[in-house]
Amino acid sequence: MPATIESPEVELLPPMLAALPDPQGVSVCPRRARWQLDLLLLALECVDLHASELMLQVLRDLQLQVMIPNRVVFWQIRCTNPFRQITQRTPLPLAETKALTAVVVQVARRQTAILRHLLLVLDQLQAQNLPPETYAPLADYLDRFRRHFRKRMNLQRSSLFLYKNHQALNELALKLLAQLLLCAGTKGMERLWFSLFDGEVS
Amino acid sequence: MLLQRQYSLPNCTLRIEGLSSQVGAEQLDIVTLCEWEIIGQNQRIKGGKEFLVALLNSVPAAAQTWLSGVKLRRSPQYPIQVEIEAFNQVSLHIPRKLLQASPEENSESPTSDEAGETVAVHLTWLQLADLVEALDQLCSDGQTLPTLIPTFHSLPRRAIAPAVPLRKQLMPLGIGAASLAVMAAIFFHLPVPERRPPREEALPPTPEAVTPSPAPTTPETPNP
Repeated sequence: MPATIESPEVELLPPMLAALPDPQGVSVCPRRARWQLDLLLLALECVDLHASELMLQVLRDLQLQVMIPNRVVFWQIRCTNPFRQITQRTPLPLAETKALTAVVVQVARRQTAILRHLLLVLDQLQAQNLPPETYAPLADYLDRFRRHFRKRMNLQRSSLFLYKNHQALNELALKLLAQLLLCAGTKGMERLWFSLFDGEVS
Repeated sequence: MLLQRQYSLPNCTLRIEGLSSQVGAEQLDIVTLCEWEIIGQNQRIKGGKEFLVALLNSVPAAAQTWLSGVKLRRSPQYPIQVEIEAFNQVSLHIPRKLLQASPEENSESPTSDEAGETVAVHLTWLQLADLVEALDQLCSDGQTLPTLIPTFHSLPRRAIAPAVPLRKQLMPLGIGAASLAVMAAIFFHLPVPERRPPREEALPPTPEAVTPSPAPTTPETPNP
């Protein structure tokens, strides 16, 4: 009789994600966290035109393909955002949430220079009381963000009714720039992960 | 042995000075000076160990709250208060007792309130992100303060203010009660409708009125 080795079935998480503990009393990704993660990914796509390919590359680099094997699954996971036009009502497990968090942080780290540059120019423009559209790269980012947001999000929802306004969308886009810079820091991944569950743990 | 560590970022420099108990050791055991220089504003803020601890408690917590976008039910009781006033405007209120007074600081810093108990420092998001990054690097540095372990925790549900404030929640109830009171006042002043007796001449004669009264009956004579 041949000897067989039976290994216990454990969920193998990449070592990078092992630093993110499961929050107490939360089994699936909460609603606000899904919205926040999708928004951060959307802002990254607007900062860099090649960011969507970079996200898939990061998934391969971090060996997260166990959870997100291809771009279709990645899109389906992003569609768990409840405010999308095409939204899925399936719950998002915590393992996939960790993978999305790692993708946001890694892509933001690679775009730190652009993020810092845009925020620096924004400070200078505000000091001179000039609108952000004065600087062409910032205007491109805002324009791209508005178009992507209106195309993908369901603006008929009462929560998003505010974002029919041009100015409100601009402010959201600029706020996301600064949030991405905080995620890109040394402890950015832990900070983003714990901020996703603010107000959700008991 | 006196040791120095410096964390330099484009908008902020954090310098830690301390003493090591062992000769030749690379680790700080006692923090004697914490100097925070805001490069965009040419401002230097110095303090001791208490100032560093207060910075480590308040600034990363404020950054996490701002990252999650939630509103706190009440502001946390940290010594350093971080307030987000408007977009791209953050102010830190640092108690003066945490700082080491230096003669050139009082003359150079225009934002310090001489009469007040706190020093207000105004930052942009970029400067705040650099301060958070410097503190993160300090916490991750095993050569400086190895006993300093950064702790993260999510805010519990009871610490978060409701998304719709109580004033807005009570507004429909108030409008309903007010409209009820107004309508009650209007109807109170309206005269009560009087009951009018039916007009008899207009009524057709009832059959009972025309029926003749029954004939009087003769009393029975008692039989003898």
